[in-house]
Amino acid sequence: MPKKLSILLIVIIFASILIFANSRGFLSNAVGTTQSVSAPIALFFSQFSGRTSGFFSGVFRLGGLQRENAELKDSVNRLQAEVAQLAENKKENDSLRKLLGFAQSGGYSYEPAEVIVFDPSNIRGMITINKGSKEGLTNGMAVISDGFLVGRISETAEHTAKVQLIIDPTSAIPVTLQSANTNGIAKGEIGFGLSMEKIPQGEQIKEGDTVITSGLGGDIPKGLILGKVEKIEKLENSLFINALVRPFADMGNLFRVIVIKK
Amino acid sequence: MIYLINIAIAAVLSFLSLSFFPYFKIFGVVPLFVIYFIVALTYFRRGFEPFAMAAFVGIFFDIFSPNPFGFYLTIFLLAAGIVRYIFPEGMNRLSFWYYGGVCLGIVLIYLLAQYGILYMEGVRFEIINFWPLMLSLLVHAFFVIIFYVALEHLFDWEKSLESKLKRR
Repeated sequence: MPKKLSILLIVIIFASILIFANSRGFLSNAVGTTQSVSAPIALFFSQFSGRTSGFFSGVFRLGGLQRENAELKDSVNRLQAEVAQLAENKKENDSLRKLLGFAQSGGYSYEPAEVIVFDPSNIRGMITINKGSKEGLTNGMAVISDGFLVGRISETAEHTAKVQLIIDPTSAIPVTLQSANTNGIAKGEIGFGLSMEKIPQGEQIKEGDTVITSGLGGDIPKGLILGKVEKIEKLENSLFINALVRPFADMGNLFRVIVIKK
Repeated sequence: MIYLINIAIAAVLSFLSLSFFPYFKIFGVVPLFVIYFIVALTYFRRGFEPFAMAAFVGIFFDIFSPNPFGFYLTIFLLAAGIVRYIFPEGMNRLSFWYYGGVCLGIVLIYLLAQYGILYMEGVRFEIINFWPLMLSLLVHAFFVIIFYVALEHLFDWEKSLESKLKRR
């Protein structure tokens, strides 16, 4: 047999054995161990990247920082007033629930984690975090960053977990609009976009509406913010309306996230 | 010795591609230095070394990938396989056009394979969905040029180191 062909044959056999072994679950321990071992090194690179990008963005945006700082101070003041108001509402809500004999809502706990790996493709959206099944993470749990939904856990190992981002083309999350009871599905788009689909014709929707999770199905709590409606696409002869959604979370700069555990 | 240096370079490039460069994306594209490195390595190194390297890095990428296990392994081995098939005896100098052409060809296969996997997972495409693919090719072409210069120097240095070691 020619040398070229024998090399090719060996390569194909080797790759096939590995793919088959993994599909049967024989490699799950080895994969988990490799992820755990490489996690600290990946975290080092990720943190180094964070510091570097932070430094450069600080240098290039020095002029805009002062204005941004003033705007943020205004936001903080406004939000503090809103928090105080919400705390009052919560007290009132809790006492009413007690009076009506409702079960306590919520029951969630939060697990902070750091992003160690990004999938390098610009077609898929996936990250790996440094917390896993040992910390109580399971598939389907919601992952947030800066208060906004960024994805959900799709695979867990002992000390790491893969998070499918909401912008991944295979991601589909039941959502609704904050201002109206309009339901739909938030789907990822190739090229890191997000769209809200399956909105029935005639439903109330306008540009600028905030998109939140509807809490229907899965472990994702209701009311997590995804983004805002940027453009509405009404197709003729279609039962549904589609809307382009701009995610609030900066998907390209995820360093720390929080997993919502039930 | 050279083998160990190349393993270290491949490991560092892997971590850079997975954990560092994703925060410095250009038009959403992360440079895949590992593919460029494997292609160049197969030009210069004979025997099984490039294939072993491609397998080692491919498995590592697969562990963190959303694609089915074996995706990166196959792409990286294919990269080494194509170069070995076209240049069975390797080359002493890196030809920019051959190198750039093969690198971009592999990147195109890598991107199209991802579209294929998405299609099998039920995602349907429109023409506009192929825009990221075109953009990716352009950005990768830019990085291939930069990496070509760096690799030329690296492999020149490796050759001189190897001949020094042989003389000893």
